[in-house]
Amino acid sequence: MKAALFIAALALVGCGHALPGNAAAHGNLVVDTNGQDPRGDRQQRVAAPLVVLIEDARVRAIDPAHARTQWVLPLAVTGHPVANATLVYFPVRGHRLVAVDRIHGTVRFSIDLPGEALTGLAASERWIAASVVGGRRGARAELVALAAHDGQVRWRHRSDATLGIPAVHGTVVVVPTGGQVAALRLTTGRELARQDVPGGDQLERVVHHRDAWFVGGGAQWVELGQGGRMHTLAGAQAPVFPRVSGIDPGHDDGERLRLWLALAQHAIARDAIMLARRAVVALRLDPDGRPRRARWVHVEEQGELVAMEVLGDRVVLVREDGAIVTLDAATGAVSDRISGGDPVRGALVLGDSGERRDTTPKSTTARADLQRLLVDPDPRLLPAQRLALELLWRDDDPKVRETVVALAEGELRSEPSVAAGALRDHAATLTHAHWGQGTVADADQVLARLRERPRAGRSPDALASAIREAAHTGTPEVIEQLAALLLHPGTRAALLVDIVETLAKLRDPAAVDAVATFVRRYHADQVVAYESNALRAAAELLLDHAATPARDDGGIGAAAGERALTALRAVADDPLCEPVLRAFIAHGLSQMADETTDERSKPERPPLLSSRL
Amino acid sequence: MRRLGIIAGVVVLATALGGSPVQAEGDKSVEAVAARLVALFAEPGPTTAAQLRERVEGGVPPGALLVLLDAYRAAPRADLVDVVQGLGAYRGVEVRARALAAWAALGGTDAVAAIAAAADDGEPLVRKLAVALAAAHPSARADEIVAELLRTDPELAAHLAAESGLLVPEDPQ
Repeated sequence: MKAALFIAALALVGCGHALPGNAAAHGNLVVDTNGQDPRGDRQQRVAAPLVVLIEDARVRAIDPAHARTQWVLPLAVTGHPVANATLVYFPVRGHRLVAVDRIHGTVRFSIDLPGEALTGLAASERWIAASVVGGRRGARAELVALAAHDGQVRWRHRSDATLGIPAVHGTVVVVPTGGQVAALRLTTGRELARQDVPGGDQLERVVHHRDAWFVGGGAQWVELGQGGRMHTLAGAQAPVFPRVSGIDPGHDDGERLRLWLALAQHAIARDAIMLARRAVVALRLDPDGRPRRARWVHVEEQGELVAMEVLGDRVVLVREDGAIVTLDAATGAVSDRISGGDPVRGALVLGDSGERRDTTPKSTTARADLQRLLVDPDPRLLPAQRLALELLWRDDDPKVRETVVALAEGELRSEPSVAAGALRDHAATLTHAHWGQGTVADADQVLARLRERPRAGRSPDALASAIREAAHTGTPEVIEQLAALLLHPGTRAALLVDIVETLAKLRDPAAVDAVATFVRRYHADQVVAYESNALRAAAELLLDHAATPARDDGGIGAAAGERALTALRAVADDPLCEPVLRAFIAHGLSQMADETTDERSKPERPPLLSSRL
Repeated sequence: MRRLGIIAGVVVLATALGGSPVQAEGDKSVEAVAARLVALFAEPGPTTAAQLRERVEGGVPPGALLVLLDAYRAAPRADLVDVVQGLGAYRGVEVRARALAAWAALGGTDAVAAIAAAADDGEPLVRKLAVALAAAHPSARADEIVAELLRTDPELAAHLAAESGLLVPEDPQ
């Protein structure tokens, strides 16, 4: 009786309050919200793992440890369910909320939700928070607090702005509202703190992770209380915080394209995992939030994936036929597979999301797996293939990056499909961007050092290291600078060799004109011919480019190859050419002519990289 | 008189920098190429100018280039300034020095540009040439370039002071 009176009093205090879409920032959101629920955290950790499959008109709970069905209920789930250690809360048809016992599958309560449509749910051991569209007295949105054990509404706050998806920790709820986030005490409905979020016009949801609060939308997020710096995942092919635009769309097609981010406290996330229909790509990010290196790749041969959850050292995937695949988070190796049956639209994967112990990449086949992913003609894999291209282009090894160049030039995936065209376009765009694992700042630094011209009193050491580093990290402007250095009269002979070697590694057709000029200009100058082997190396590079027309009938590479061939022939025809160089070029041209004849006699010419993949 | 003396000094300097021209066996020789270049240069007109450009860009032994540059310096042609400008970035010091001297022979802004290029060169002997060219083609800007060069290159300044006789070929009387 006393409890009922207390709840009624709370309801009177809480109900009818407004949650302004924009108000003055106040309080300290992190200090006021942390350390709230150590008991709840412990309960979550010891709760048995469960995978709840969302089918068309029912839900099926699977015990993944024993691969058996725990319970089945006829529920038409319309939104994304949430859970605490004891109950699972399902938004169902008719704007209702059904609470189901996590172990036995018994329905604890079923209630009507306030408002007109659900935006998002969050639950702790004692509380449920729901943001809804519409509400009493024409409210645009409402934030509603319900008791977790019986579903009774404890308080409702009207809002004049659309709310995002809240997060609950202990007795505190944090919700995005307009360009701000507000923290409220669940027991009283009192606003504890409010914080402005820079660029917060696209805030979709709040996430609580190990005493840190993150708010984000799309591929952007902010760690609350840390100066408000907005992190952006550059070139994201999938959303980290999917847009709901006010109404939870449920488990729709968008479930199959997601990006999981390892949200790290006080630092930018370093690891991410992309789910793209049949493919899963685990990657490491650089400090700029750009994909840096592939950790592993997993591709399902049959069926698309509709859910992914990272639980400590495991990645749990749910396939559209209800199959459950568990991967080792460090290597991507399949550690468990439970076969499926009926089709599912999505899933809620519950388990201990404890500390990830080992994040060191261990897969040695990641590069080859990325290259294999690229040649898969399935158009549904396009987002994953775009990411694969970015990761290959970020590789320090120019040989690995050649796959991207080959794709840009149509030597790979030359089929006339829309997806292949889009992939080729993406590759072409990438080849104009920064390559290698270094950050944008690293590439800028290399470029700045390359722009320095040899001068009296200037040490060539910095230039020499920049020339070598350019093969690993750089931008297309590097080619221009290397070309200028090659033709600069003050460049030392030893550096000429380094320049040509770097250009050979980069194998960019844009370098052909400068290299051809170098060879033609000095082919009859014995001093230059004998001061280093740069002339011979340059001629070898031209021979390599000149061989391009034999396998590529169009494009920039072929045109550059023609120019290389013209230059080599002119040099070889000059009787004043340094004799050793002349003999080398003549031999190379003759060998190339023989190879071309051999290839023409074959019924079908192989693509450039077929043997490398 | 003073001007001719300086040009003669430049020629002596440039010759001293270079080695003997490359001798080639076969159908063509350095001399034949040099003669062809000079013949093309001596015949004004867009066609011969284009042929000359093409021949130089195709690569010519340094010995033939030196002959061409001497011819250019004796009778500079503004329509072929790009040829000497290009050779002003040749790796060989002797070709580069003589190309800069030939470029400067056009006088005016071309001389200033050639002096600036010589003063910016990494090779001390070409920087030294900048001083000689500034004396041959005097201007306020040329004086500024030389002053800046001597300020930033104390070794050259000391060298010039010690060998001032070389810089003033004419009798100071």
